[in-house]
Amino acid sequence: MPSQFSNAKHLAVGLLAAGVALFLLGGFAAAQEQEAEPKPPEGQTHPLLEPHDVLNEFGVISSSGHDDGGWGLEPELRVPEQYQYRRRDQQLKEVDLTGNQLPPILTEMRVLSKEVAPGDEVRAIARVVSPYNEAQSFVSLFYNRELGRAATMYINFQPHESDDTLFLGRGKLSRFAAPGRYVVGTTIIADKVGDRKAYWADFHKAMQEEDGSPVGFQVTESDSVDITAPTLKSVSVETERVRAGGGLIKYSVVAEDDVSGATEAETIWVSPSGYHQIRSTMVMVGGQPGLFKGVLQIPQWYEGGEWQLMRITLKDNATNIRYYFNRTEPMMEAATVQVDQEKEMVDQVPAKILAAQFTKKQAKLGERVGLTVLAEDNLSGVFSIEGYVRSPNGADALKVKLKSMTPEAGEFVDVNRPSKLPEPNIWTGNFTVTDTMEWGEWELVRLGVSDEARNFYTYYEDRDAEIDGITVNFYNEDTETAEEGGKEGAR
Amino acid sequence: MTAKTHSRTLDRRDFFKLGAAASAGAVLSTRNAAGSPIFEAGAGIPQGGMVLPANPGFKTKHLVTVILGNGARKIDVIDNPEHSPFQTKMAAEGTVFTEDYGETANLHGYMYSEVLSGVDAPAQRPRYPTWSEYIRKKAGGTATDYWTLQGASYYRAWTWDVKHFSQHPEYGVKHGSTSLTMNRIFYPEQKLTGAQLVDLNVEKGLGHTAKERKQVEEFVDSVLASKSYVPPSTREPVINREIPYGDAQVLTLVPQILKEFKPKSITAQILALDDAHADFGFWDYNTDYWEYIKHIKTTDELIGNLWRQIQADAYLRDTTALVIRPECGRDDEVNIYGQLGHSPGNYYAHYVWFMALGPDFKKGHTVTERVQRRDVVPTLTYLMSGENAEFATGHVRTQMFKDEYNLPKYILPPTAEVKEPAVDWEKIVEERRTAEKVKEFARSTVGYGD
Repeated sequence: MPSQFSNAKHLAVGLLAAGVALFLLGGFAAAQEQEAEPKPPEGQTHPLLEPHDVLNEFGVISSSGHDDGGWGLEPELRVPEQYQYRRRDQQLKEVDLTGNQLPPILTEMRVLSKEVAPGDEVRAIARVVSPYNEAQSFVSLFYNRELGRAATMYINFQPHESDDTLFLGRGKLSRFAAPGRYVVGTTIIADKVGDRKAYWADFHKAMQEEDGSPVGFQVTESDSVDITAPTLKSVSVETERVRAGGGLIKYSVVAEDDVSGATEAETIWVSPSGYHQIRSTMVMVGGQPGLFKGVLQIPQWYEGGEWQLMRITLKDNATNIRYYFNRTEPMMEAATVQVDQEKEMVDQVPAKILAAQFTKKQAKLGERVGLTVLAEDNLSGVFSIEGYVRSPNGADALKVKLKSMTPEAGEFVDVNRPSKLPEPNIWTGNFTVTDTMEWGEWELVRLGVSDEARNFYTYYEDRDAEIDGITVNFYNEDTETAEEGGKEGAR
Repeated sequence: MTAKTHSRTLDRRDFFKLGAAASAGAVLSTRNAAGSPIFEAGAGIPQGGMVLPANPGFKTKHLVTVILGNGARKIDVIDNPEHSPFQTKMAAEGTVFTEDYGETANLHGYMYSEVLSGVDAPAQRPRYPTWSEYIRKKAGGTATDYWTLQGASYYRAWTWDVKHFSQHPEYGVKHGSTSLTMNRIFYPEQKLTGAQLVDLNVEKGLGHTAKERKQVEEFVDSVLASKSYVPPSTREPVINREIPYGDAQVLTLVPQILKEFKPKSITAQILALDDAHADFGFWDYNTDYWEYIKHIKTTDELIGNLWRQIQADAYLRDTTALVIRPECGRDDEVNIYGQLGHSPGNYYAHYVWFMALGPDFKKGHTVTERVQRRDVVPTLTYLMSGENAEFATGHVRTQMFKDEYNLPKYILPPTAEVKEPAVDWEKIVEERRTAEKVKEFARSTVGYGD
């Protein structure tokens, strides 16, 4: 496909890339001064130097995890990440696509709070460049360098009000945090259309101190360190027998935590066949530290028989978490309840999609398009429908959440047309393609449907005839007419 | 769940403090600067709370380790003859652990490093030595005695071609392994020579001699010329995308390297199982649980082929071990989008299987006792060098070794709720002395000994 990138776009990418590349590749240049090899073969421009390839400090090709996300490359060379997973002969380059798929690029991260005490706030700043699709807020994960994932904290970065590239980070250190050096591990930064890139302190100089170590901060000593999750002391189930959709199952758990105290407990119950699972949040009993009580009801469409307490999750005030499973924890073996249910009331058949359509065949960029779906369910009723609409080459996709045309309780109902009845089987949703996404023929590629008994099924465009060939053409009115839209070729 | 404890125990906090000390180089004071044990001769090899016999005399000379990277559930593989007919059959020839526990179930870069190093450190590049480094340092050998293969360098935020050596100052690249990345080297459009490819892809600090480097270059040339990197036809065809294809290439090249170089260790990094939920953010990918199952079937057959080739070689059959472990498991349920994630709190995400086949392992043996992800490093290090992995916090899985080796009972290493039993060295040395005295007495008085 011919390149339609304007000179201005080339120039913008080029200028930005030059700055970023100078910053990021400085270290590599220094490394290569010492190690003259390897050189590209004579007469070639470096055939192995793929768009995502750079030389690492050991003087060999390393991966895209180490580079700048492709900003340093011309559109004719850059392969957006998702196409790097195609076979070589099927990979698309930036130049083959409309829209813009460049992810935001992190150019700087600094922790301003060099030494903090447990319970203090940690402040940091970051610089992120993303001129086409503004970068969104992001979170960076910090770890205690020696304790690893046993001691973590998060810093939330929010965009500055007036400085387009500046992000201000804040995080609250637990007052039970272990002392030592905390360093950044990872962060994933996305823009508003979903192009994203993961950054790692192992590879990205922007996240490293001058000596190459990850940026971080020092936590001072404390007398109340807690990196140990609560332990389970006992489990008891008060209810022996219930009817599905009827009585309540009452149960309790006792947890012990030596420092910060147990604060949360959650369970999962599983049906005899394993087909159904139910999550149940427990509540701590006031004045009795470590005692949690739980109540749940088996939904009316679920199977009967002996339900088991399958998992207990315990969390303490320092956010340490521990899981207990009935397969490996003897204390949970007897935690069961007998559930009575008629066979004909058990719903294990997902809802069905009968038909789906877009409300338009063509739409301008920025124009809303509706997705309407007709669905039915044999017993419990349709609960949710969600679709994925994918761009022509799969560079972008949008999730479309549909809503039933039956008004929910309390929702305003326009009675202007009394003849119009609520339609529980008609579901609708909308989506919009912006000019930074690919334009052309977008296709409904998946449609997930679930019923009130949480049976679900996913329809695929290449497997299920019900959603095969449902497309809408998004065209750019600045460069083409409605009639031209959807045609292959120059855009 | 508690483990048997001795008079003094370390809790998790103490243990991590020791871990911190270890990182500074003060490793439980069990080895001197030369790497030799500093406790009294005959006391045994320490690994955390366990003491193992020195010089166990294992028969294994070559180790193939397949890490089913990015996660697979036991119900989709070792408990599923329909999806995995080869591995379920192979189980009868070795030992299978059914409750192999990992404390975390997300962030592949870290879990993979944990499997490789036996330490939970939050870095994609292992900060502590990998089993290749331990074995190479302790059992010796050259750079071509150690290999690591992976299909791709990078996949969905995770970097794979930097895991064959750690950043640890006492180990590092000089103890690393010859690492080949399939999609950088072996593809039909490849125009470069073996020499150029090795130059561009294999670290220079690994310590290859000129002769070894030449041998690797010639091997690469030969694989390219013969196209022996193309995976064989399988009942479930290899998915024609870069990552699953690369996995198939890895398993296709392992037996070729085994025969050509007779290395001490080959580590095969499988990566594409994350296609079970890989279309999150990568819309071009049409992947999900069913793609994952397809890859499991293909991979199963290729692992079966690999084991068959080892068994068909009279020398390798008696000297080669094959070990398989997923990096982590995957969720209990497929979600509404047809994706199978790997989230903390899902039983099948935390608990996986581990299979070991080889001349030193029990056959048809199933271990239902809980073991730990961090055990892999000390277990493989002990198998191949008879020594310990001093920085790893796991223990040696003695349950899988044949009874003739008289190994001590396995102790679950410290995890969130299990305390580390302290080793009473004085008692152990005293017991050994007493045993020696008894033997000596038997020899001198009755005229027989062991």
